[in-house]
Amino acid sequence: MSLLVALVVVLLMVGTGFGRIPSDTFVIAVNTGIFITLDPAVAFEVVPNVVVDALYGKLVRLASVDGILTPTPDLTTHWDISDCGMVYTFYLRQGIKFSDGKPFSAKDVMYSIERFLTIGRQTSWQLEGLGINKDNFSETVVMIDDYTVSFTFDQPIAPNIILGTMASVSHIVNSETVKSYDRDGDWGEWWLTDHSAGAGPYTLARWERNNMVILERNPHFHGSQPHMRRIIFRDVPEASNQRLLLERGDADVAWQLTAQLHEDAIKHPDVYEVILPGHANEYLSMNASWGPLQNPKVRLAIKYAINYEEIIDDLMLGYALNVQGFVPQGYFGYISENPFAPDYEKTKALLREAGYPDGFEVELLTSTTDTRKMEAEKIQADLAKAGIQANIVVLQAGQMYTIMRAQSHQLLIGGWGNDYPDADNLATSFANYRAGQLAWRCAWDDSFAADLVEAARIEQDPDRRYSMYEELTYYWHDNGPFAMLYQTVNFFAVRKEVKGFEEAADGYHFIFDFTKIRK
Amino acid sequence: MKSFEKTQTLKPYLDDLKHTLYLWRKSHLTMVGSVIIGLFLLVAIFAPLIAPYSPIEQDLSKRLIGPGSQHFFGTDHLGRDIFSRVIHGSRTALWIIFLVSVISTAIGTIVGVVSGFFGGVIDEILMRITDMFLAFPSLVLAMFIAAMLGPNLTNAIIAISLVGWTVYARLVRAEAIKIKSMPYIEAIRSVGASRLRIIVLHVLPMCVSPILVQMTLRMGTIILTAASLGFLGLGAQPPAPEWGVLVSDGRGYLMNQWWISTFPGIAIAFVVLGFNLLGDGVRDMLDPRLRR
Amino acid sequence: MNFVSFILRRIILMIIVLVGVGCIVFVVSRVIPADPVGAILGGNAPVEVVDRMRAQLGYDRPIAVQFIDFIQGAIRLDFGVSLRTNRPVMTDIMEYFPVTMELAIVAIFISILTGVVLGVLSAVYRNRWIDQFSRIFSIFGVSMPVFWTGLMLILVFYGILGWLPGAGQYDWMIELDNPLTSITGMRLLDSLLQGNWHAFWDAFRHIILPAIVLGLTATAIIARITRASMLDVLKQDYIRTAKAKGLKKRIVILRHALRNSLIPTVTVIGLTFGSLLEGAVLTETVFSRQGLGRYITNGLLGLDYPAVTGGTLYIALIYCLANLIVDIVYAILDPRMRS
Repeated sequence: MSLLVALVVVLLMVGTGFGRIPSDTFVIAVNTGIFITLDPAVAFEVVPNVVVDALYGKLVRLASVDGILTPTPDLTTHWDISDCGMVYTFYLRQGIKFSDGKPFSAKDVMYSIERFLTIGRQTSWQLEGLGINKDNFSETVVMIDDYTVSFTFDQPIAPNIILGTMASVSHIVNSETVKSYDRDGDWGEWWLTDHSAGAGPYTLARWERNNMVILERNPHFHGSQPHMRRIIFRDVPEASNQRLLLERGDADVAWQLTAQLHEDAIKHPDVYEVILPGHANEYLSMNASWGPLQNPKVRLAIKYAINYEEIIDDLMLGYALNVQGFVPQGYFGYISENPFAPDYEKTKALLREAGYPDGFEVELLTSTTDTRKMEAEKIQADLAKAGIQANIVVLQAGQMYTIMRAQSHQLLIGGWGNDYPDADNLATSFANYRAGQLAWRCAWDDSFAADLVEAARIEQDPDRRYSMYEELTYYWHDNGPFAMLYQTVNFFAVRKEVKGFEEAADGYHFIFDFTKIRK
Repeated sequence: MKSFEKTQTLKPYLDDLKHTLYLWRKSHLTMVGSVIIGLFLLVAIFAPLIAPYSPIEQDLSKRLIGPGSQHFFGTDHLGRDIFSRVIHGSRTALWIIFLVSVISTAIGTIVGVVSGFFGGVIDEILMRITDMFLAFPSLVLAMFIAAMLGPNLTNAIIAISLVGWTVYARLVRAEAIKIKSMPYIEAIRSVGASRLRIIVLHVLPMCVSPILVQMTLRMGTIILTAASLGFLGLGAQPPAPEWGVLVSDGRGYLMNQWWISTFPGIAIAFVVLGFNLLGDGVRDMLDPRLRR
Repeated sequence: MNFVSFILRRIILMIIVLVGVGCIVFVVSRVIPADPVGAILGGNAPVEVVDRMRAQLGYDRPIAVQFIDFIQGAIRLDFGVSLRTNRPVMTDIMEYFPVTMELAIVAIFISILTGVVLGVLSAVYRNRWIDQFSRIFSIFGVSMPVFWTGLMLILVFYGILGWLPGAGQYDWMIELDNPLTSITGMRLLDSLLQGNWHAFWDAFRHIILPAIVLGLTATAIIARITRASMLDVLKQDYIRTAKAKGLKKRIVILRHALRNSLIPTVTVIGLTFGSLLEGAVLTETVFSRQGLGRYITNGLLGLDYPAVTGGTLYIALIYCLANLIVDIVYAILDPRMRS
C-alpha cells in the first residue's frame, strides 16, 4: 500500500519535468473568460481586440512614431482627403492574399464595412457617429475601382479623429469565404465567432472557450513572416496564478497582474518588467441628478476629499499617472496642471455652503477586480474624513455599467478605455451629454460643455483647438461630475527569454504588434 | 401545593438536568466543542475590547506586514490589522448564525406544523414546495437568490435562510403527525380544546429538542455557506470583515503574503468544527436511547 | 407490482417538482431590476446601442410572452442562447457538464476508497491510533471551507513544491502534441478510450488535487458512517457465530460486516452527491476548471439570464435524478423501506 503511494508520488513529480515553452511559441497567461467572440465586427473588449488585430488587416493602422500614435496605411498604400475635408479616398495595396490564398481587393472592403454596419453591434456606433450607417452605406461608401474605395463623412472632422476611428473599425474579412458560411443572412457571424478569415500576420488555429486561444502564422502574410510561429493565450483567470505560471516558466508574460503581484514577480531573476503609458483612465463618477450630488459644490468637495497621490503611490505602487483632466498625457490638448489634493478644510466649507454641514450617506458602486475594490475602500476612507459616509457595493463590471446607463447610480468607480487616440474621444464622453456616453450617464446636461466639445471636434486651427480644450478642462474641473483618479500605466511582467516585447506593446491597448516579438 | 409536593414535582426535572450535565461532561469531544463555541461567543461579544486595532481603518504605510508582535496575523493590502478583522468577523458570523437560525426555524416550524397537523391537500402542496427547495444543492440556490436580490449581507442572510428551512419543516411535520394521532389528543379535543392550544401546548414542546439538535448541527453549515457567498462576492461587501470575504481578499496575494487568506480560513474551520462537535454531543445527549 | 408503482409515483412527483422549480427560477430571474443586455455590452457603448440590442434579443416583450417562450423551450431542453458565449445554452451545458461530472466521479471514487478503508480500519482497530487519526480527520474534513482548502493546497503543491499544476484541466503543450477528440467530454475517459496515455496522465495530474479537495467532506462523512455501521454490525450475533465457527477474521469482516454496512453508506453517497455538486462550484472557481458550476457562477455574476436559468434547471434535474436513483437502489437493497 505504501509502495503504491510512493510510486504515485514519484510519477506525479516526474510529470513536472517537461513543460518548458519552445522558442518559436509565445505563451500569454490571461483571463479569456470574457471572450465572447472573435468576429471583428462584434468583438470590443481589449484583449479580444488584441487577438482580432493579429488576425485581420485594416485600411488604417495606428503605429507608434516617436512615441505618438499615428495613423499609418496597412492594407492601403496611401489616402487622399478632399478639400472640403469630408471625402477620404483609400488606395488599396495590390497583390495581397488572405490566409487561404484568395486575393484581396475593394470588394472585400465593401463587404466588410457593410457587414460591420449591418450586424450593428457594440462598436458600430463609432462609425455611425461619423455619419456612415447601413442606411446610407451605398451613397457614402463607394467602390471606385478594384483597388480604390471612397468614404464620405458628414462633417469636416479633424483627420486624426476620422483616421483613428477607421483604425478600429476597418478590419477586412475575406468576403468570399465568409459569404460561403452565411446562415440565414447572419453575414457568417456564427462562423467568424471562432474562426478567422483575414489578412493579418496570424490565423486562428483553435479557440477552446475558457481554455486557450491558439494563433498560427499566416503563410500568405504580405509582410515578413513573424518570428513566433505560434501564439497561445492560456486562460488563467486568477492573477496570482498568472504570476505562478510566469515564474515557473509556463508562461512568457502575465497579462493582468495587480501592481503588488507585478512588484513581487519582477523580483524573480528570470522576469523583467515593461512599462508604457496607458490609453485608459480610472474615474470616480457622480450622478448629478441624485440628492446632494446635484449641487456642484458638493461634487467639488468630493474632488477635494480624495487623496490622489496615495492612490497612485500606495495602491498602484506608482504604476499610474496623476492626470486629473480628461485629456491624457501624450495627446494633443493635455493640460498638466492638477488642481486637486486633499483639503478637508475646503471640503467642510463647501459642504456647509451647500447645506450639508454634517455630511451625508451615499452608495459607492464598483466592480469586482482587486484594484477596484482597493480603490473603493480607499475612497470610502477618504470621504469619511470629509464627513461623507460611502457604502460600497461590488458588482460585475457589466452589471455596474448597466446601472450607470440607467442613470441610477450615485457614486461609481469606473474606467474608460480610449477608442481612438485623440482628445475628442475623451471630451465627447466626459463632457458632451448629447453623445449618450459617460457625461449623459451622470446626467450632466450641460450645454456649454457640450457645445464646446462639438466646436473643438471640427476646429481645424490647432491653436484655437487647444484653447478650447483648455477652457473646457477648467470648466469641467469646477462643474463636472467626475473626479479623475489617474491615467493608467501599462505594466507587464515578462520572461527574460522574450525580446522585443516593449516595441510590440508600445501603443497598447490600441495596438499590440506580435510580429515584433522574438526569443 | 404544599412545599413537599412542589419539590416532588420538580425533582424529575432536576434529575434530568443533572443527568444531562453529566453526559455533557463525560464526552471529551463535546467538551472541546463547547469550549470552542464558548470562546467564539466571548470573542464575538467582547470584540471591540479584544481587538487591538480598528477593523476598517487603513494605514497605507503599514501594508502587507507579516505576522509579528505588533500585528499577530499581519496586515493586509490596505494596512489593516488582520487579527482585528478576524476578531470583528466573529461578530458578523454570530449575527448571521443567529438571524438565519431564527428565520429558518420560524419558517420551517410554521410550514411543518400546518402541513403535519392539517394534512390533506395542504400537506401535499407544502411538501411539494419543500421538495422544490430541496431540488437544488443548497449553495447553488443560495447563490441564485443572493445574486438576484443583490449582493449584500442582508440578502445573503435571506438567501441562506430560504435554503435552510426545509429541515425543520420535515422534522416538525413528523412530530405533528405523530402527536396528532395520539389518543390523549383526541381526548382533549373532544373536551373542546382548540387546535391552536393543542399545537402550542402539545406539539411544539415535543419539537423543541429535535429542533435544538438540528439548529446546532446546522450552524456550522450556515457559516460555511455564508463564507462561500462572501468568497464569491455575493455576500457581505467590503470593507465588512466577514471571514469569507477576508479569505477572498487574500487570493491575489497567496504566494508572498499567505497570511491574509490563511488566518480567516483557520477561524472558519475552528468555529465550524466547534459547532459540529457540540452538535454531535447535543444529539447524543438528547437522544433518548443513549441517555441510559 | 408494489415496486413499479413506487417508482412511478416518485417519477411523477419529480416532474411536478421540476416544473415548479422552472417557474421559481424564471420568476426570480426576471424580477430583478438589473438588465442583462447592458451587462454584455461593455462600458463604452451608448444607450441607443443598448436599447437596440435589447429589442434584438427580445427582452422588451411583456413578461407573460417571455414566460411562455421559456416554458416551450424548456420542454425541448432549449434554453435559448447564452448572452456571454453566444451559443445555445444547451451546447454550453453539454460541453461543461461532463467536466463537472468527471470531477464529481473522481472525487466520489477517492472518497469511497479512502473513506471506507479508514472507516473499516477505524472500526476494526477501535481506539488505536488509526481510529483517533481517522476521527479527527473526519471532524476536520467537514469543517474546512472548500475554497480555502483548495487555495492552500495550490499554494503548497504548485506554488511551493511545484509537483502538480495549479489550474486548468490540461497542459496545452501536451494537448497539441497528443490531440484528443472529445467523445464523452470527460478527458480521463476519452483518453482511455483512444489509448492516449500522455493525455490521460496529464488530465489525471490536473484532476487529482481538485478531486481530493472536493471529496474531503465526503471522505470524512463516509469514514464516519462506515465506522459506525461496521461497529454496529460487528457486535451482532451472526458475526460472533461466524467467528466462533473459526472463519478467518479477515473473511468475516470483508464478507459479512462490510456488505451489511453498505446500506447506510450507499445512502450517504447519495446524499453527499448533492454536496459534491455544490462543492464543485467553489472547486471549479478556485482551480479554474470549465465545468457547469463555474458556468453558472459566471452567469450569475454576469447576469446571463439564459445560462443561469438553463444551468440551474439542469442541475436541479440531475440532482432529482440522482436522488431518484438513490431511492431506487435503496429500495432494491432493503425491501422494508418501500413503505
